[in-house]
Amino acid sequence: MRAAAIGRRSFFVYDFAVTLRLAAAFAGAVLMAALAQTSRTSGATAVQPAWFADITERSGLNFVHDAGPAGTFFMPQMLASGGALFDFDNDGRLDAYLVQNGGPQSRATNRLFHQEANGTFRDVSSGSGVDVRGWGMGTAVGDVNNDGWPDLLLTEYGRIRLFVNNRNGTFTDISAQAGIEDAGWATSACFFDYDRDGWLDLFVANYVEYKPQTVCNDRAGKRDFCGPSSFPGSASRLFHNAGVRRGSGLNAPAFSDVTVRSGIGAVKGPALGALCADLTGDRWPDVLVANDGAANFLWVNHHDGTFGEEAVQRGIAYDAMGRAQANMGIAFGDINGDGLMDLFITHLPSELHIGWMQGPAGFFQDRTSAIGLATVRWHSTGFGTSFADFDQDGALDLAVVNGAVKRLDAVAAGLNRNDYWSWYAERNQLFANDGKGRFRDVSVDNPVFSSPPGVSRGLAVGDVDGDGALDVLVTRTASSARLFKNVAPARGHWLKVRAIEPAHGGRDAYGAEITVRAGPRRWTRVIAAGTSFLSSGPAEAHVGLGNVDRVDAFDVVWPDGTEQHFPGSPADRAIVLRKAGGR
Amino acid sequence: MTLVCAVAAVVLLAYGSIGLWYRLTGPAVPSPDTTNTDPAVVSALSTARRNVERRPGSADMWGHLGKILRIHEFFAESDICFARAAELNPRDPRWPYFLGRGQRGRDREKAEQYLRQAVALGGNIVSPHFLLGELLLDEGRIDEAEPLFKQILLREPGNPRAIFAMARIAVSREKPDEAIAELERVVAAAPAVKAAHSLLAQLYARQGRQALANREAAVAAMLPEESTWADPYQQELVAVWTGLEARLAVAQAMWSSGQQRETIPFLRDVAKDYPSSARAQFLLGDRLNRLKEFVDAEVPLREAVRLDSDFSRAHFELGYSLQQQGKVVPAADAYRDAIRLQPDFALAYYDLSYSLITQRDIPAAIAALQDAVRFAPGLTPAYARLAGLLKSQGRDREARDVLEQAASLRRPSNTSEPAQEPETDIRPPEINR
Repeated sequence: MRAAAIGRRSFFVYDFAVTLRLAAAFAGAVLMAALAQTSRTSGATAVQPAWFADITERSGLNFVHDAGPAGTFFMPQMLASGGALFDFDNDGRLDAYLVQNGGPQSRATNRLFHQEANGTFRDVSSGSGVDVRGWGMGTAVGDVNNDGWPDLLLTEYGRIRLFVNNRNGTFTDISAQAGIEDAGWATSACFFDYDRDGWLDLFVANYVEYKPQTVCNDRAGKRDFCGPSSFPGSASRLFHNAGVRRGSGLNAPAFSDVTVRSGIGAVKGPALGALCADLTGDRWPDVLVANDGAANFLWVNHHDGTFGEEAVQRGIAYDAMGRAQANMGIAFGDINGDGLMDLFITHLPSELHIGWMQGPAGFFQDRTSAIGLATVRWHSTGFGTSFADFDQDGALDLAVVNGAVKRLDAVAAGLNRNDYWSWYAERNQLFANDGKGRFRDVSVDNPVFSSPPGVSRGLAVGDVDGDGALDVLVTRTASSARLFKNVAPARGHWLKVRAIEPAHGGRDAYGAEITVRAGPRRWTRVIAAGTSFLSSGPAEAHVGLGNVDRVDAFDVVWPDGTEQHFPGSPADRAIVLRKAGGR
Repeated sequence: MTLVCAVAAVVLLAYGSIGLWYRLTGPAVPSPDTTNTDPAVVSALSTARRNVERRPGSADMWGHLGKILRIHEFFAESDICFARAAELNPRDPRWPYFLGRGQRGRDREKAEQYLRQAVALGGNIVSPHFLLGELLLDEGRIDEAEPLFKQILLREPGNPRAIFAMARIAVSREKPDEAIAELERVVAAAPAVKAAHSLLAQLYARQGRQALANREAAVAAMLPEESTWADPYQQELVAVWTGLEARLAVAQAMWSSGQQRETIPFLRDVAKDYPSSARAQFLLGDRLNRLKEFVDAEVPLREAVRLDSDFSRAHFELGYSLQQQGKVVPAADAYRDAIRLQPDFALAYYDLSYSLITQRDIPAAIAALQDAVRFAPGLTPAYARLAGLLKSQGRDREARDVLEQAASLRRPSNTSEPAQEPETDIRPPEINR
């Protein structure tokens, strides 16, 4: 400034005070611009208290995922593995099951962790019967023999295994006796009673007809993991549960493969995510399949044991621009409180994670931008995802875990890629619902959950420590699983609701729709344990109530389509609703 | 003479100074890590880098290097080149366009800035308008997106991509009838636009016009997933793609576009230039099989399995070529190799059954077909063959069950997929890349 003034002294006189004012004005303008930019991308103007603390180490949940040898580009490594939060011993505390992917020759076996009374986890894998090894992918939990104890399905590359709960802390593999077989690449799975006979049937999503010998290169000829387009998609599988055979020592139900008969085998696709729930409003469960790089499938239940594919007509096959995307994990919930379940599916960074709103019943529309999810702080490859009311303000928030499937650009990302898997590491994301179904990106407010990059895959949500708030379990490829305790301050009131069917052995009512009423307010939740990606959470409805400390009533639509109404309850407790018998 | 020398010296000095100035003020020429990169790509990069070093003030040289880097997935390095090209020639819309396109998956705000620059620079090519408009549509900023598409429609009133975007805008504004009218224009002008049929199906279904919805969904189901929109700028990138991957992709494209005979000499050249590539040999053999030139196909397929003995599809194709030549015993061996390498290879079981039938080993053929339908429940021709064999063995009841299964596969329903018809010549899908 001084130099500029030299020849024009009469025109411009150096003035320190002016300089200061100009500097202050400039700094203010820069600050305003920065704030404006921040608010445009997120709507946030100030850092909010974090919702989660990482309690993995102190919880004793000591699990490191074995992805198998690095550098082989064995494609199942890229997607694995998930896990489950479930109470396998019915002691009222959530336990954890975590899946390995080291292969049949690996020393790493899947691990079962029991939650002790003091809230820590103890590895009880040895002798549990589920400490198996393989190219493990994911889990689904359901009581297949109606004895009131949760059984476990394990999906793998090359097979699936069904373990029945022995009610003593151990499981028995009954796949062969039960008639469960799938030699494909099984990914997500879900239990549901599609024919309303009272026995949980099983849907298994199969990915592609992978040929491990196939070599895939990028455009420069450098080797990388293959994508789904390198192989034909697979037919997913549907198994009908005809119930427990009399005299069966193993209490094993008889499943039959009805893939072809049901119509589900007629169309193939690279299926990653699966959701078994009523998506058409007729009170019969349907199946949504998230296909990787292809149109999604919506298998609509015809009420006669068959299904028809209607994703295109119902608006859920493609994004708003009609593009088939890399559909992976599925979140499911009523995000705007209109009583209709909405959907969210995770995708690649070059796409957007898409939110589909339901309305009218049975029809969906890509409303990603309207719900605030088009402008997010960062774009990543999403896998596990869940709608959950973490701050219990009465509106479902959203968690997404990420990890790339192709080597990332280290220079562009500004990251130090110092080991094999770090080339695929990305940050997770959290979004807060404003109560009207519009989300605000709160990822940067939650660095513990969001910032450490990882190759995250599975995400399961449940109240692990029994304080009424939803905690999160995240699985990561070739790294430790992480357990995040909900520490959101000033959380609202809550209810946890289980729906039980005494006539079916007292098992959870998968597919039950529960509406909680308090004055003019309504919260609708569906018991669907198998959303997200390769993961399973507890079969209960969690409802954040905000400042509502008592609810007036519970309305339940049971899986058989019947309705039942239960009286209300004070908030902040776990409720069990039993079909036809009252609470 | 002295004067001439002095002038020459001044010119040289000026030229050198300009070069030096460009070198000092510009970025270093990117030098990506080319470990394990195709030698043809390395060579193309070296040439392009040398050209930039020779002419550091040339936007075109920087842009050309950027294009080579971008198409070969050196994204960060390509950004450096495009940014420099944009500095050197701020009037060329291609450079901000490529920068914007690259930023879409990382920083959409930056992408928008670049694309706005590209749009502002004008030019005859409307790719930047589309990309910016669609980016804005994704974000729900329809009032900002609409003028861009209207601008395109002023130039090209029948542009189906722009009409489709206007339909999307009508949907966002909850004007379904307007959207349907626009979409009907799109499918009339460009019947292969899958997105238009899909959106029409959705809109008809929401209006309760189920028959129309099912018709459009069925049409959509038969169209390929990939977008059909042409992008001249993107074509510039594809034009500089080189190496084995590029040549295999060209071969696939030639084949798909109906130039099937012309593909063979092209693939022979590729196989010659990449003698250690099992994929090149495989693709040549596979295409010869498809042209029913089974004797010729056997040679490259044998070479493919020699180069990569774990290549299950090469064993499978070799089996097919042998089978078609009547060499059923070695064909069966090749199918068994394919199955050994890939135990769920349904088509290998299916074709193995044919060889086994020819060898009159009916029980083994039945077992192979049972495996085929086990691993591919939708493989309809396998059911018919299996039922026939079972019947020939007096296993009528099992045959009936199998036929029932097959019939249920073809049961008509209100699905978006047309009922599957038995295929007569089942082939594995196209090789990727």
